Amino acid sequence: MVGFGDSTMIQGETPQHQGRVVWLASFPKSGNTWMRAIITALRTHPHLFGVDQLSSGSQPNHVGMSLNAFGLDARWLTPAEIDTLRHALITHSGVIPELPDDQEFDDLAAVMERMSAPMFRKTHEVFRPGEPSIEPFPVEATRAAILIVRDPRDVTCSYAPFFGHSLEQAVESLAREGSETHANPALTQTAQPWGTWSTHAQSWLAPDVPFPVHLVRYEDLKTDPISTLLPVFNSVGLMCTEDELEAAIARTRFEKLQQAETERGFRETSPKTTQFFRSGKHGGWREELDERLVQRIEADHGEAMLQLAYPLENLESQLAPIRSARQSRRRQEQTAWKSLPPQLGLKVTVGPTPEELEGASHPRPWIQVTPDQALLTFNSGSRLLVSEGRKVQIDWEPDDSPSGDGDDPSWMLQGWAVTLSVLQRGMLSLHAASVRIGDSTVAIAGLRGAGKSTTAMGLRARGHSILCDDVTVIQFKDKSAWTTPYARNVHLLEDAATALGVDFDSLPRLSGGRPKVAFRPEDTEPDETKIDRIIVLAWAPPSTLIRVNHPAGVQRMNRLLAHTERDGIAPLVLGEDAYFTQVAKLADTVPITQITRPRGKWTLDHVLDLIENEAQK
Amino acid sequence: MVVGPSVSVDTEPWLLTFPGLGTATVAEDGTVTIDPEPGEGRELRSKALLNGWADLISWSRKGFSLIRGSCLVPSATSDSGLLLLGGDHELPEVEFPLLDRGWHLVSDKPTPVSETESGLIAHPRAAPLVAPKRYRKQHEWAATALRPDSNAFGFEVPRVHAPIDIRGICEVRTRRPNEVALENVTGLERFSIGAHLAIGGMLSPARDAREPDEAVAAHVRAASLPVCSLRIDPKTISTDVDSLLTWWDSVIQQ
Repeated sequence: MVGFGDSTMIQGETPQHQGRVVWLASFPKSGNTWMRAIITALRTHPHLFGVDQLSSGSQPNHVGMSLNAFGLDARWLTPAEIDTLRHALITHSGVIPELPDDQEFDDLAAVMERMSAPMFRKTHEVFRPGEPSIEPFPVEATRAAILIVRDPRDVTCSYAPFFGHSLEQAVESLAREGSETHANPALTQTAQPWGTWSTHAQSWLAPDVPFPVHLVRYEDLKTDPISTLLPVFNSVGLMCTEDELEAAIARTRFEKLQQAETERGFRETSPKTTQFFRSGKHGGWREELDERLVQRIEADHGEAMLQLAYPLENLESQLAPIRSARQSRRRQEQTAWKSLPPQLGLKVTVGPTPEELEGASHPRPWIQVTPDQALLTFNSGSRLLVSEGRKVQIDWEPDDSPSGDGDDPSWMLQGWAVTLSVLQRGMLSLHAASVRIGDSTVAIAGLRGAGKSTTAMGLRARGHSILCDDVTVIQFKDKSAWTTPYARNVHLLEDAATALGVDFDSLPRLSGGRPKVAFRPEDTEPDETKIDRIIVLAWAPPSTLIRVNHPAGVQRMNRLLAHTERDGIAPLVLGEDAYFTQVAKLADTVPITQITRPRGKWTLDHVLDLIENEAQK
Repeated sequence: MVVGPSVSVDTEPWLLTFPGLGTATVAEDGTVTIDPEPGEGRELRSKALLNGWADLISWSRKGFSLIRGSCLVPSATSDSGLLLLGGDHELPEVEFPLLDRGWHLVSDKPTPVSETESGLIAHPRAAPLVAPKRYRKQHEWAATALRPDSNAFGFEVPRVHAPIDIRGICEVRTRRPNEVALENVTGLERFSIGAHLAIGGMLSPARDAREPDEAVAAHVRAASLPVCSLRIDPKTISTDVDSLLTWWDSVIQQ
């Protein structure tokens, strides 16, 4: 999307399309109703105009009109069929019919004018092309679209009371790909994707929208409605003079709409609010939003705001860490905490586990292991039982206290449950992050606190892909070691998050009082990938320099034992012989590089350079 | 290429077509034939074609008006007439509490009606009560999905299979802050509600080339009945329905 400083026509100067429908597209609470009031006032005798009789209120996702059009009760259709029906209904009313040859008209021009008059239809949906013949916005029925945009900071202030949200919840709603999107045949509604505030505007302003789109900024509508609307209305066939438009605008001034709503009510208002027409003020957000919320909105929508000529209050350097954390949060929200990627083949249930496993070994006080079961008891009292390599039972109660805000238990599943299950299936679990660097895959191993996650995130910041953090599942095939990547969170301490440009406070904290937060990187392809190199991170005294060495012979085996024994569980589950055989095989198969760094010094950039260099070998 | 529904009225019988769903014909006397697309789900497609489409066209061809409302009676043997529920809100939210209190369904929306000198008679339709799936958890009635991937379920509820006079109309909508649950509707608004209940287009009685005055007879007669506006809130639905029943008692005592 290019930048648009003013309300303007985006594509074409003359309507090329012969359909009747003019889409009034907007994100909710952006002035769509006001625009409809002006249009209704233009088309209605002054004595008959009423705020409760606005035309074009029926949104295209409502297909209940099929009773009138086809005598069809849409509740009996499948979601796919109501999509088809939606297209048919819009086409049915929006395509200008040809006049019959055998009929004569007294005033043909008047008939033609009536039949081709623009038909305005409100929509909050994102534009999407859709499948041929069932496009959600059929080209043959469409004349143009008018996209109404409004400063998202003001939208937030209007959105919150309308939907009964707090301002904070409204900020989240504007940034979340709509949850109000599901098809609802029982209520004769197709899906209605809103997108985020940004993606909504960007979808309508994309160059591939196949009809003219007129951009109208709410703020321009407030300051100069005549100059803003007159060319747009005349262009879409709503012919009016400046005087007529001025009169219509006078009848729909905000104070008048408010007064009418107070006196007679407004049927389109929300059950959550007493007043639909609230303030309509431009810049009212300055009195309502605190600095933190403004930063969040600008971090979420800064790019689109600048394109639509909404200046930002904050510098990019302030917004970038917040944006990174919020994007992570969005990705996390798309996955339930207890769901694991299907390629892992694990069934997760939530419920009570036994406190003891009969005949179990205790490699650590908090771990119990039998040949086919493992039970871990965490400091928080939560327990995790993994059985037969496939079944996972987690006994966890969310921390509802104020300090438990964002409490995230997914680390137990994404880390421990996967590790225990792969061991029970006879495979190794390397305590390492795996990262794709160019054509190579490297596993970055290290003891707790060695900096595996920080290093993986640093590589991500350089454009490489994190395949998986903390657990690298090892399988041997074709004389090589392979791993199965799976999407999971990266756990970061506050100093690492800050150094990596991630807003620590915006991310969910790990449960059980762990001082880390969960960052969700972008998902990667789940295809198995060959491991080309193992990097072992180690610490040395602060006075030393960074050292790189390539262990040989038995040293290779020694390095790997420390990162595969997994708190002593691996030899118990796999059996010592099988365990040592596999570690020896891994040592024999994959080259190892050890990078030793001085403790207490920030050497990340240097380490990343070294890893990139090693990956190319 | 036509992919959506179409109704061909140029030949007899009328031909209804929805590619992927099937075809149906409706003869002048209302006789219906159904021909669903073959393959898995054929039986459900057949029911959809019948209950969701051909049956409605059939009533219309037989000269009945169809109105956007559901009809219920207080009991199987009641002679007090029936209550018509209309409005844009989810009607099952009121239908189910009434059924839980012993009411019986005559027709889930839309309802065929015929006009008499003084009023309207609602006629029973065989289609089940259609409601979102979530009502299964709240009420005891047996229910099955109407179609694959759909949240619309058909509920088997107690019914009365006889034409009955409409005695009162209740428009259901969501309650806004500061509103009372129920209000008697008078004056022009009553006509507006009556008009909103009418289904025009394909099912309009005007298709039968009746005189305009005659065609709006159903609206006028609906508007002459007692009408209330029930503004509901899911949190207080039980007391909201209580207020409807109080209003209903006052109607049948008139």
